[in-house]
This record gives sequence, C-alpha cells and structure tokens, in this order.
Amino acid sequence: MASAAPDLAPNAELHWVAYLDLKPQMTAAALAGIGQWLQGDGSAGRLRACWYSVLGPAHRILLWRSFDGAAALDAAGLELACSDNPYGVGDCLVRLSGNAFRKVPFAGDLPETSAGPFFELRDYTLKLDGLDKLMELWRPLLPARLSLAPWVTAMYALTGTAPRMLHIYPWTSLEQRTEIRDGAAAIGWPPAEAPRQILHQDVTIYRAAEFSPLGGAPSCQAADIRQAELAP
Amino acid sequence: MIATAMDKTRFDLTLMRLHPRTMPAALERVRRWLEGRPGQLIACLYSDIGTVNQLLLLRRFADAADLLAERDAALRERDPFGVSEFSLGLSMDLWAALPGIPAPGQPARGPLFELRTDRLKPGRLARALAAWGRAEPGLMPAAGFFTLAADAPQIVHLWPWSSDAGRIGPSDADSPTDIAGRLGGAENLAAQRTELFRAAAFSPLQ
Repeated sequence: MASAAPDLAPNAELHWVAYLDLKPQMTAAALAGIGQWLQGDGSAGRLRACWYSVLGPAHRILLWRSFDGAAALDAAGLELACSDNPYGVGDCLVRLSGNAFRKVPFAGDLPETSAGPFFELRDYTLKLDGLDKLMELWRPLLPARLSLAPWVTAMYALTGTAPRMLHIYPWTSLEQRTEIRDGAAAIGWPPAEAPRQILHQDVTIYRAAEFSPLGGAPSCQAADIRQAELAP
Repeated sequence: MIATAMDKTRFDLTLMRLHPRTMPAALERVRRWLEGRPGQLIACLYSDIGTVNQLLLLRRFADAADLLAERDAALRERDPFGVSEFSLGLSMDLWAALPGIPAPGQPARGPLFELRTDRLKPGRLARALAAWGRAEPGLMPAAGFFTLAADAPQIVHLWPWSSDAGRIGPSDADSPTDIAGRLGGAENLAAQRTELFRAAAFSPLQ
C-alpha cells in the first residue's frame, strides 16, 4: 500500500534542484552569472536557495527553485535544456544535473527565509521499496526531532536516480550541528530501521549566496568564497 | 526555438539494474505490474551487451503532469514495479522526443535494439539537436529522446537490428557510426555509451 500522501495534482508545487559542478575557483564568477540570469526572462519559478559548497563536493553550487505544477516545471526544464548558457554560468561548468522533487507531505511549510548561515543537505539514494518505509519511520518521530532544531524540509525525487530523498538543515555553526545531532540520537533519531532503507548517503555543507532567499546575507561573502575555495 | 516548437508528449524511460539471474522473473513481475496503469507502453527491453541485467521500460504520457503523477504513485508503493527484491538501482528521467524521429511504436523491426546514450556537455543540447535536424537522410533510429530533467544532459536513441550480424557485420556501412557527426561534432559530447537490448515477449516494440 502506498503511503498516505495525496496523489500528485497537476497544480501541486514541485521543486527543481540543480547541482552545478564548477571548475576550481570559479564560484564567485558563477554566482555573479546566476544572479544576472535570475533577473532575466529565462529564469522561471520561485527561487528558494542558491548555495555554494564548503564541505563535501568542492566547487558545487546548489540552485533550488519551486514551480506551481508540472507544466510550469516542464516548460522551465525545456527552456533550460535548450539554453546554450544554462543558469548564465558560461564556461564555468564541468557538470550539470537538475531534477524534480516533491516535498514530503508531513514536512511542514517551507520557510521563506533562514538565517543559516550553514545548510546541510543530506542526499540519500534508497532501496527501491524504501521511500514509503522511510517516510513511515520518520513521521512519528519527526516532531520530537524538530523540537530540538528545525529543518528546512525534506523532499523526494521524481526524476533521475530514484528513490532518492533530500533533507536539509540550517545550522548556526558546525558546533551546533554536532550538539543537535548528539541530542537527536538520544531521542532515537534517526529511527533504528531507517538506515536499512538507504543504499547511499552524501552530505554537503553549503553557505548561501547573498541573493539567496534561504540564508542570503551580504556580509563577508567574497571572503567566505575565497576561504571555501582555497582551503587545503 | 526548439523549446517553443516542442509538443507536450513526454516519455518515461526507466532503467532498472537487477540482481543477476533474475531477469525472467522480473519481466513477468513488470508485465503484471503494468496492467491497468496509466501511460502507453512502448517497449520493455532487457540488456544483453553492455551493462547486463538491466531492464528498460519505455512509456508515453500526454504531458509531464501525467508522467510525474504516475511516477510519484509508483515510487510510493510498497513494491514499485513489482521488482523490489531484485533491484540494485533505478533511474527515471524526463524525456522529450528528438525532433524528426518517427513516433516510437512503429512496426516491429527488431528484435535487437541498440541503446546509444550520448552525454552532452552543458549548454550543447540545442546545437546537437540542430545538427541532428540537418543530418543527411539515412538510417533512422526507432526512437530518440533528450532529457529535460536528469543527472546529466543526455540524448538517447534506439536502433533496431534484425540480428547481431546486422549490427556488427563485415561492413559497417549500415551502422550508425557517425553519431558524433549527427550531433554536430565531438566537441558537443562528454561521453558516449552503446548497449544491446532484446525485446521482452510482451514488448509492443519488437
């Protein structure tokens, strides 16, 4: 039996999460290009986040946009696929992926903003029958977990490698992350059976571009990017 | 230009990687799972050369909304595709038909199908599609698609062969050898892959 999530309506909100893997030391230039691209006609949807990686895969930008319905997402995907300068990042790109996601039904409302300044994205590839099981394991324990610290959201993939789950957490510092994760373990999060549904896990820590609705702030961005790119 | 001229039909090309020696049982499970489901089944194929133990399912949907709704329902099932116990992994991108390629599902010309996967450099799809449209008439694939959402920009095309000898014979004059040329040159390509599949007994494309 499928999980209790309602069927996907044609006008349901969908999310497009793109990974832009860049040549080394091109993050600042790529963010500038994205900022301009977002002002143009080719960028449909609502920008949720534009983040750059500081731990995990290096030289990666995550761009997250939301769309009202599959038709809008499809049109944006077609426009982007046929663009000779996707996201306005020019020759900075090494590899590009973009996939459609649906928010987990019990994840709660998406925050419009978040102070961050760090965002942890946990990207899980699941067993073929693992999506429904993982959601059912998470659902009863989630309120206790979120009482410790909020998450941004969780969403599952509708394209690309599947089943796949993204879940995203804002942190004021990496020390806070460790503290909360230790506390979560004490209340039984993640559920003991959950890891059995997971085939592969990737964890990336991001910081936000200054124009990112989630986490954006003008302070010290140039220095932060240099530090992220030049750290040994 | 291409974007505005494209029709709304979308294709579900699902590739399943399965445990060795489970293909006959998996095909029967998938056949049963497909009964009464939305979308038009075009092909169900299994790999013979390349990465073996792959099952390819190709379905047509009126538009992206229909396709994504069916996919969402399938992924949330207790046993998606009926093959969870055999599964090693799955990919399911969102595909649109290559311009100028006959509608998939035309009369049978297999039973072997060569799946060619051309991974493109970012930003090169429009150039590749335009070059494909300018290519000299000649052999045409049975179906061809490009990705709108995926882990990488890609074009795939299925070439039918009546026998192994037809694909790899004494002369390669009839082989689709100049794919790079058809796609506007090697500078548009990041990687290429070719694999040979066979049609399942219940596959409409034979």
